[in-house]
Amino acid sequence: MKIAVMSCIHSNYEALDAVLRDIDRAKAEKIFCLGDLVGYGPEPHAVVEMIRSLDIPTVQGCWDEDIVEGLNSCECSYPSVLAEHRGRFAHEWTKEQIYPDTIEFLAELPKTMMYENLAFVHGSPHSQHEYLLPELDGFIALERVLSTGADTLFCGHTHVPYVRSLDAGQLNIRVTGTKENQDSTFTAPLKRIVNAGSVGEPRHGRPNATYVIYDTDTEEVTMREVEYDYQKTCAAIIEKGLPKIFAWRLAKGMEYAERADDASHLCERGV
Amino acid sequence: MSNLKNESQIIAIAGLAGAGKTSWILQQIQIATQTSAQQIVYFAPSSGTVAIDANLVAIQFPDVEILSDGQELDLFTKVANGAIAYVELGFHLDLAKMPLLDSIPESLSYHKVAVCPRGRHYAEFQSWADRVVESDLDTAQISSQVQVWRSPLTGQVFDPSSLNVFWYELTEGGYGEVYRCKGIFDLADGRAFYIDYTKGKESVYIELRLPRWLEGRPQRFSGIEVVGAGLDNSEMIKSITDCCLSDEIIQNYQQQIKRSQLISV
Repeated sequence: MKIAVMSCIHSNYEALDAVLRDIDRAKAEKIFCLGDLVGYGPEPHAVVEMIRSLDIPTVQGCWDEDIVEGLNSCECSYPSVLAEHRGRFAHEWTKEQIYPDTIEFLAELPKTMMYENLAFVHGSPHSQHEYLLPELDGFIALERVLSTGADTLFCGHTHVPYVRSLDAGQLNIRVTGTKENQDSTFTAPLKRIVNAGSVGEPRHGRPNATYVIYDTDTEEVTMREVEYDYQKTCAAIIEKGLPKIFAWRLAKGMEYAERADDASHLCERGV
Repeated sequence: MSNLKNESQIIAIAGLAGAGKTSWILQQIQIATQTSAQQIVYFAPSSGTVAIDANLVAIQFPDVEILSDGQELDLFTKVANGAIAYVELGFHLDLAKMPLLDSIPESLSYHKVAVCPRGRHYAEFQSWADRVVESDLDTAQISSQVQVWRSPLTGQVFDPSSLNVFWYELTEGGYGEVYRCKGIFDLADGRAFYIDYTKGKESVYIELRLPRWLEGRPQRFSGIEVVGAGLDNSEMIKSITDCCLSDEIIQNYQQQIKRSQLISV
């Protein structure tokens, strides 16, 4: 069975619409969404309504959480004061735009989802705010997958799609504090992290939306890059009073505000 | 770019934005200071309160005397007493209407230098100048509708990561088409940088030879100048404002730097 996994829509309705059409063409039977439905873009309510009306299983992203619980970002979120100003402005703008029942919907989203041997999270199983960057230390990456009990972990949040295989991971564990320290070694089976990229706020240098198709029978992952009328979204950004630089950055495939890219940073907030 | 002989004289330099006028002057001053003890004067008429080039010259060569508008007679007197004066004419000035140049006493030696892109003919500059210095500026895509935007930044302290992002957006066209931009910026760790961009070239970052400013907001010149077309001034102001640090954060950084300086001593 083919499933589609998408993430980080960020209030970009035009991009979401194009991705849903592409999923339809690809004949995926099920869709999973990894959160960040809102934030930065111009159509938060329309995006949430679309996800809701199609009953797409969705986990809560960091932006969705912040809209529900108030801005409580950690240092993972803003690599500069400029990014922080822009993020805070977009947060306040989004909060003013969305309706109470939209907030209620975002509040009820789960933080993780399981389907067969697959796990779905926004950032990492540890925190919606934590980045599982492709360069993350292999042991930590493997620990994050193992903590879900799944073989494949789908995540988003970085806005750059990737597939990382954690094959034949050999774990050496020493248990201390007993009479004799006990060493044990075991080999973990092949695990994978699949990052779905971003539908509405790409960071790969082109404005196109990205998502993935996964075949549960063959375990094949297909990265999809979908062109859409990004200029419509850019026009809506300007028309609705969001910073014009967001439109320029979206057109360049550079995200609305830059993100942390320190692969060694681990989020200190728990789920 | 070749140099002129050191002698008592006024050298007026003109050219397009980004042609390399200030670079040529800095090169000449470097040579002059190495070969003689002659007094050197720099003057950039009508550069207003955001005189980035004048401040750069002053920082790089503290012995050079910087004159400003209203000190034209001083300039003549200094040259008459043996100084060499570099007069940098901004690209926005009309070379046919320069009262300063028209009023230079006949007794003073006076040369006109145009800095022009290599292999290109610029009648306005070439017919005006006694000598043309070639530079490698690419002028192919420069519009005739040039705008200039300047802002003083004195007292502002930049978050370096934010300044990097803003500078990237600026030079890549996020606020309109930019042919040339330059600025002097104070950073959180007390250092000051000169950053210079000309379309088609990489930005140049130069740490200025200034003491670290670790006592509140810097009371020394900083500023930015942008030359381009279709510039969105209000968006630039918004982004620049969002790159700057609050008093509290500045104080925190300064205390950290002072502590680390104590430890390293």
